[in-house]
Parts: sequence; structure tokens; C-alpha cells
Amino acid sequence: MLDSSSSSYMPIVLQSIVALGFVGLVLVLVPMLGPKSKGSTKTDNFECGIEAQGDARVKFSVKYFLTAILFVLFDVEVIFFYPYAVNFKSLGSPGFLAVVMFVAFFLIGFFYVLKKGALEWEK
Amino acid sequence: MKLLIGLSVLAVITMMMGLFKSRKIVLPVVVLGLLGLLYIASGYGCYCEDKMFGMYINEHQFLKMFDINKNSGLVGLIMISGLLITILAHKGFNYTENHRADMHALMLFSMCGAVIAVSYTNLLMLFLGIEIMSIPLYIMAGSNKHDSSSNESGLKYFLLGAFATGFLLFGLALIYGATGSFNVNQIYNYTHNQLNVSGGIFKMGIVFTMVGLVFKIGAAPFHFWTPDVYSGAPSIITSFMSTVVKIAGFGALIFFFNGVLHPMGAEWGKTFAIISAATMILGNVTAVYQISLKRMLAWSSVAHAGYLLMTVAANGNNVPKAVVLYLAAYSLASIATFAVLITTGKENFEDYNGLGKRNKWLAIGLTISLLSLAGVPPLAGFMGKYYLFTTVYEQYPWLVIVAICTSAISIYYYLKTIIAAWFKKGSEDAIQVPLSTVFVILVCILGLIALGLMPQVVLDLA
Repeated sequence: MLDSSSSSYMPIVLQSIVALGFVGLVLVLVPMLGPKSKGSTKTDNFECGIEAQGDARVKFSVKYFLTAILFVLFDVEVIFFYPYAVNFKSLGSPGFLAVVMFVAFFLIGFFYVLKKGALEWEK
Repeated sequence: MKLLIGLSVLAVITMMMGLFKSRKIVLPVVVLGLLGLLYIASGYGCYCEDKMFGMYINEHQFLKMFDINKNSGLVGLIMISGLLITILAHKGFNYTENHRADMHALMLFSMCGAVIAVSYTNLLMLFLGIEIMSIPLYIMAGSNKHDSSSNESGLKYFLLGAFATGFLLFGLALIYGATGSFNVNQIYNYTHNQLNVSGGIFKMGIVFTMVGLVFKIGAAPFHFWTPDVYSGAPSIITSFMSTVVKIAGFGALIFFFNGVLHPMGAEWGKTFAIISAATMILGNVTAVYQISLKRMLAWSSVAHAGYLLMTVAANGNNVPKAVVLYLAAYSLASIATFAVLITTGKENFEDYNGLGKRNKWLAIGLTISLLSLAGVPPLAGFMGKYYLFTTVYEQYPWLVIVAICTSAISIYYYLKTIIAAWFKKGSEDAIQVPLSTVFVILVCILGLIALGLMPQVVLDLA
């Protein structure tokens, strides 16, 4: 039986208290008990084990952004096909027309993007 | 429905024309397209279900999500304002010569959103309409890439607009949670039947929706973005924001509150009365201190939003005819003023000294439109204010008194510009005015005079 009274939330409250308490305890105990070592190597950012080189804040070409956003756009388009594929039969010809229209709009957009030169890398 | 399909197809065609180096024919095609849509939608061209000026009403609704007949007067206003601004864009888009077609397309897409926003019968469509209208605007506001104030305007508008949209969406979600429907009729029934039920979720929803919509029309206390965005954006875009967008935002707001939430008027009416009074006072008083004409117009558009909000507080049925008349007067006058701003390309009052000697047309256009904005008879602005005040007077006499006092203040800053244009000495170089701009100014002047003498025309149609 589902009980919506506030007492049924007690386990969740208990669990939160235990979780927070454990995290707090560990954060306090580890610096107190663990060994300490200091030095420039220790304070460096860890990347992959190889010594870090240069600045992480490099300017990227805006084309990366454009390509990424176009990828998202056309990727999401495909997602819409899955529910349509499942309901292909029940939607019938009106559904087919709607999907053709949807794809046509996307094709227009794709054509526009191509013609605008958004995918030309060296220009 | 045909109007919306036509608008979006026209927008796509315009966008494509930009690819084929056919810049010269973009403007004529857009103007002809809009004229054709006006003709078809007004019901003279062919038999179609959505007549724009309410000649006859048919219950046909596309997916029952919006109904263009409902606010036909506002849809007509959006189309006509959009058409006039498109003609102005002949000169107005000179700053972005390579992207003319794209800008026209963005403007048309934005108009699609505006049409949806005033004709929704489903709250989803309200949200979509507002978004379709706003997103192209963010781009257009920042379209003058080499001008930092345009960039600032675009970014500011985007951040604040997205934030306000969040409020709107959250409000609509809460209303859906309380009523179980996005359909306006069902929400109306809910408010009608449950007047005495204190639905906390529903009321929170109303408050959040109010915040979102009031932000979009730039009324106090959510007006802070207005002056920066309006004065930073290119003048042609500002004219679009202060007319088409304002009409759509206000249409959406007034239909939501005076139509859908009409039975609950006693609960939110006072809030709007206070918002309206605050907006009128803040807008008009701050406008007095401006040194830039464009910024002054931004503040005056805040003030006009205040006058219009009085009718929301008064809670008449649906969209009162006085509102359509007022918006028509306001839009025509704004477009004419911005036509002058775009032609001179100058923003400060000093630059308008002696405008009467430099070009008669510009000075006459500026004078008549500013007089109409101030509400001087026999121009349209006066009739608009007259009908607006009479609708509100019975319920909120004090609000009308505030409105009259603040209009008196507004006469000062409008007249200041007119005096500068005719009586002050400034540069004497003649200004060349393109034919398209003269045409727009003429149409606006004639419209203002005609509406002032025969306001009944609009009142009957709306």
C-alpha cells in the first residue's frame, strides 16, 4: 500500500542524513590521518600523466561551433524518425505527408547551410 | 491559416533569394508577397476561412490551436506595420548590405510568430508564438556586427528575454498542472466554475505568466531592458520591436487576461492597475531627461505600454476595440518617427535642430507623428486615448487621472523635439530622402489624420 503521509518519507530523510554525514566525516578525517606531501608537481593540474604544456584557454575557430550546432540539429532530426517508424502503419498517408514536409523543410535548411558555405572548412 | 503558411513560405523564399545574388529583387518580392497575403487574408481575394478584418467568422480552426479570426484587427495591424517597415528597410538595411535577404527573412519569420501570438487558442501556441517572434529578434537586434552597442543590445535582449521566457513557460506549466488543459476554453471554464477555490498552484501560474508577458511588452517593473535594447539596436529593428512586437505581446497579454482569465478579474485587476500607473509615471518622467531621440522614443514606448495596460486592468471582454485603435495610432506614429530617424541616421536631439529647413517631408512627418503620440486632436493618437480613457474610467477613475497627468508631461518632451525641428538653428545641409521613405511617411501621416477624423472605421472593423 502506498502511504502518502509524511512518515513514509522517513527512510529518505535517514538516508540523506547518513550520506551527508559520511561525506562530511571523510572530508574531515582524510587530511587529519593521511600522509602529506607538498611540491610543485603535487599542485599541478592532473591531465593524463604527461607534463602539462601551454594554456588550456586556446581560441578555437568559430567553425567548430558551427559544425557542432549543425550536427545537433540534424541529429535531432533523426530522433523524430523513430516514433514515426513505430507508428508508420497507423499514421497512414497523412502521417507520411507530414513527415515528407518535415524532411523537405530540413532539406531546405541543409541547402541553405551548404550554399552559405557553413561547411567549407578552408575559406 | 493560409496567412501563416503564406508568411512562412514567403520567408523561406526570401531566405533562398539571398543565396542567388538576387539582392535587388528581394525587397520588391517581399513587398508584393506581403501585399498579396494582405489581399488574400482580408477575404477579397478568394474564399478562405481566415478573414482578417472580421468580415465574417467561420469556426474552422487548425488543430484547434489558433484562430486567426479571433483577433483579426490585431493580425491586420501586424501585417500592415510589417509591410510599412519592410518598405522602410530599403534604406534601413543599408548597414548590412550582404545580408539583406536574411534580414528580411528573419523579419518575416518574426511576423509569423507575432500572428500566432495574437491568435492562439491553446497556451502551447502562445508560448511557441512568443518564441518564434523573439528568437529572430535577438539576432536582428545584434545584426549590426561592427557596432558594439548593437552587440550589447542583442546579447542583453537574448539573456533577459530567455530568462523571461522561462518565467512564462513555468507559469503555463503551473496553469496546466492546475487545470489539466492547455485549451483556453477549458481554462476559462475552470476559472468560471472555481471562483471560490483558492488554487495556490493556479494563482502562482498566473503570476509567473504575468511576469513573462509583462516583460515582453516592457512595462514596469520589468522595463529595464527596453531603453538599452531599443537604443542599441539598428533603428529599423527598433521600429519593428516597438510596433509589431508590441502589438503581438500586448495582444497575447490582453487575450490571456481579459479573455481566458476574465472571471477572475477581481483577483489580478488591481495588480495591473498598479503596474500600469507605475509604467506611465516611470516612462513619461524618464523620457523627459533623455538627450537622445531614440532613447526618448524607447521610454515613450514604455509609457504607451502603460496606457494600454489600463485596459487590461479594466477587464473588458476579450480585446476591446479601443485597444486596436490605440495600437494602430501608436504604430503608425512610431513608424513615421523611426522613418525620420533612419533617414537622418542621427540619434541626439541636437542633430534635429533646424530639420524643417533641411527637409520638409521629414520635419512634417516628425511633427505630425509626435503630435499624435502626444495625443493632440484631431490626430489618431487623441481618438485612441479618448476611447481608451472612456473604457477605463468607470472602474479606475484614479488611473485615468494618472494617465491624463502623465500625458501632459509627455507633451513637453514631444514638443521639445518639434520645436527643435522648426525653430532652432542647426546645420543647413539638405537631406536626400529616398522615395520609399517619403511613401511610408505619407501613408503614416494620412493614416493618422484619417483615423483621427474617422476612428469608427477601425472600431467597426476590429
